[in-house]
Amino acid sequence: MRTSLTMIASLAIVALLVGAGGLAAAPSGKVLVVAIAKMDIRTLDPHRQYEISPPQIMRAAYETLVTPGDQGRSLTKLEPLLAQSYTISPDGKVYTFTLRRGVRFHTGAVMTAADVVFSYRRLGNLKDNPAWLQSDHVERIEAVDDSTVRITLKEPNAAFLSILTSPNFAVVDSKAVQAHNGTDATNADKADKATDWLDQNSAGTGPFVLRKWTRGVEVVLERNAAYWRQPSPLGRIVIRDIPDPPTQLGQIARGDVAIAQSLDADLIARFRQSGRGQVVEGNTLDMTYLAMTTNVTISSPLAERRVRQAIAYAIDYDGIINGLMRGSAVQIPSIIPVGLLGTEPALALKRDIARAKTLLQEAGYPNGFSIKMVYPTRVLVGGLSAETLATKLQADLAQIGVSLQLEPRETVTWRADYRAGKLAITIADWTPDFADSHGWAIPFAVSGASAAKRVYYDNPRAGALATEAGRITDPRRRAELYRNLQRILINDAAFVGLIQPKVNIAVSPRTTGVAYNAVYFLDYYYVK
Amino acid sequence: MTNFWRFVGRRVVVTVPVLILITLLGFVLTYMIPADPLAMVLSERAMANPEIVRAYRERWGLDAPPHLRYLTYVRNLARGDLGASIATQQPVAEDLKTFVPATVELAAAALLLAVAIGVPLGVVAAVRRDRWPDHLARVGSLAGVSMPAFWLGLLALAIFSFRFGIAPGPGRLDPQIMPPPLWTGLLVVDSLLARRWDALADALRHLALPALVLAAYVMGVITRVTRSSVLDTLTQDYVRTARAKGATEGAVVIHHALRNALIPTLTVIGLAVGNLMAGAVMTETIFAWPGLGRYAVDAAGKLDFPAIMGVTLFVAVVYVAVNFVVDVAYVVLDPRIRLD
Repeated sequence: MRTSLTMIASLAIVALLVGAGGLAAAPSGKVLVVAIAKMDIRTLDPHRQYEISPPQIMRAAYETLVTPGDQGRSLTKLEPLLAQSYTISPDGKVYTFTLRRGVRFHTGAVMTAADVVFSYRRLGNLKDNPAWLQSDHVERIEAVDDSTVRITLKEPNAAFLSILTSPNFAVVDSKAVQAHNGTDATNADKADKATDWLDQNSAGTGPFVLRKWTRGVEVVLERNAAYWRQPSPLGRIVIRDIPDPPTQLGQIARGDVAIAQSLDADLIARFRQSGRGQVVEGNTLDMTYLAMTTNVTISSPLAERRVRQAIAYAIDYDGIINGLMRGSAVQIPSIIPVGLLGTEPALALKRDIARAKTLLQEAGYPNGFSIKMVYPTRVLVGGLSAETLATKLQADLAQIGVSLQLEPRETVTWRADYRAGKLAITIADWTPDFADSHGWAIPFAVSGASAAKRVYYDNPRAGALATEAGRITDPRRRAELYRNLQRILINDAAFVGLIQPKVNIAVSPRTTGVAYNAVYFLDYYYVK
Repeated sequence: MTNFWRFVGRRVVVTVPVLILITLLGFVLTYMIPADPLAMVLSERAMANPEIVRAYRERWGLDAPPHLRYLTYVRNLARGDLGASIATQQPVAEDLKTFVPATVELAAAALLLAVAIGVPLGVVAAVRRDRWPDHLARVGSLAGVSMPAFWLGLLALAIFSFRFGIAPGPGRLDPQIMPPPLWTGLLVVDSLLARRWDALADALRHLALPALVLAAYVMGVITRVTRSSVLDTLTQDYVRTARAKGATEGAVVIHHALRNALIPTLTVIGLAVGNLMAGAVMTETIFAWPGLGRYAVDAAGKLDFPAIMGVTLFVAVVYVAVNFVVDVAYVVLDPRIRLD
């Protein structure tokens, strides 16, 4: 009797221990620790998130129909991911996707066309921050059969496939989300209650499963052993919020952290020197530019194209890139970022003081002129303060006799004034909506579009090129059109491209496979 | 005894209008900023989409006029509903439950260190006045008060963690260690309750450096105040009487003088608690401590009115409660002080 009681007792203790340790039983394999400063995660619901930090987490847990090609290195060549193949109708409005078979969600359910339809409808009907990606473009989504999805657009859009690579177009397990009170109905903005569950669980098909999100502290992901491709060798990924960049440097130097994402130019330089790892570089799709009005009532000198061209030739681009940005940027030739269709570094202007002075003379301003530049009191994309850039431009333009009277203005007020078209000359930045040239061409080149109207830019040829390039699907022709468009924009000089910041990721020596991608920042599937 | 309860009653009655005034002040100040909180949360394309803007305004009640919004807020407050944060989209009460325990743990550790070191140091400095212990204590307290927290924190991390490896890196717990089940949110307490000795040890190790950094300032103040207060008390008549009666020096200092000398120190400790609870933003940033300070700064930057109000009210309540406790403690220490 006593023996069996002891046995029962021991078994009970073992069961308790195993049960208690169950939570702690992580998959075998390396634990990858990543440091990011001040993660701005508001939610991990893929159809709601639109902040800077979530995309890499979304990429790990969820997948899209198509994805940037060459393991994420190419933004212009897309590859099918959850889709096996696709066709586009001749009028460019209907996209038909054939889905991969046998792909399972983290919940175990098999992915079908119904899940894709549910996911995309939910994205639009939640009416949250990214909803416009769907609702501005898509007319109708239908499941033709279990493995075929047909999407009809409101009008032909060459950028649609790029838009589909956005992490917001994640395919989720519709049954699981609905079981947690989620919905794709038109009143989803009021009726959907699945977000709380999605903040702590992933209903995706990706190589990693979301285990836990502790606000302000960390996100933990674990390997998906049932992933439809070869599972990742990483057992667990811990993405930690380490808000102080110098602290991140210390941690990666010590080997506590494998990837540090928030080191600024100085810290990166120190990291490179220390030899404690390597730095992975990539071009973001952010940009900083100079805007000059073409409206004679706002500024009579600037309304004259040759004056704007003179100013464009007077800028010390090299000094800005190598000096102010310490080489952590490239000069963006016009307004379409490098890496996208139709942009070539060869198009970029080089400083030419003599030519600038000649142009000014021809325009009737041999002694230059004085003009007020209002600029926002904030730090621009890439970490450069607007004040520093403004001061540099002031020095550059002084060399041709143009005297910039700098006037700092609080960001919110500046933005309102700039959008209302009240500013003669200013510096501004722009972040990507999606990774296709169309997203820049339309706002800047079409008369009355969001950026163009701020400086009253009106060139019908430019607008026509931008519209046409956004409609046809042949990439070579599109690239040609965008090249021509940018030549016109550079010639009109209403917008002068200045800085396209780079991203610098510090990586410890034993970690490989880290590559930057502007759509989702980093794909952990390839990291070892 | 009835005096005591009358005192409590009076205090409670006064507190309510104070808190209401604080909500009004917070509301007005936040409103005076000429910016749209939606612009801080929504992207430009989203702002251009009327459907999305309408859905957001409805969800957050942003279309009502200001006075209505304020009244709604106060009415909800009376029911215990602090509203939901626009930035985190969680109920503010939940956010507070998430971030406050981290600050409480850090503040408690810092205060404990500051008092445990500062009071004896101050006493020793007073008793050995103008000799080397006194000089050491005075220089030490001056240093603690003068060094900025972010500088001290970075220095401590650089030396003890990165250079010599004796202290762990920033954060509350090592990424490899499983956190204990959540009860109070205080890792030290939760580890003890769950008998997770590994988590307890790790939590204490992570607490050490930031607590010391935070304690530096408070310790400096406590040392100085205790010192001057003890000096003052030691010249009192009753101390001379005690000495004349033949009491040992130790008994004189600790039994007779210290009780009264502690009154100014108590005031300082009360103020320090309020300060520490407001969350030391710099220290929390450097040590990646997910506490109230960081939450408050993020909320302020995003014009997150419910979150700003939640934090303000919480800190106000803490100050009021602490002051109350300190007042009661005065009476315990010195019966001459009465509660009216």
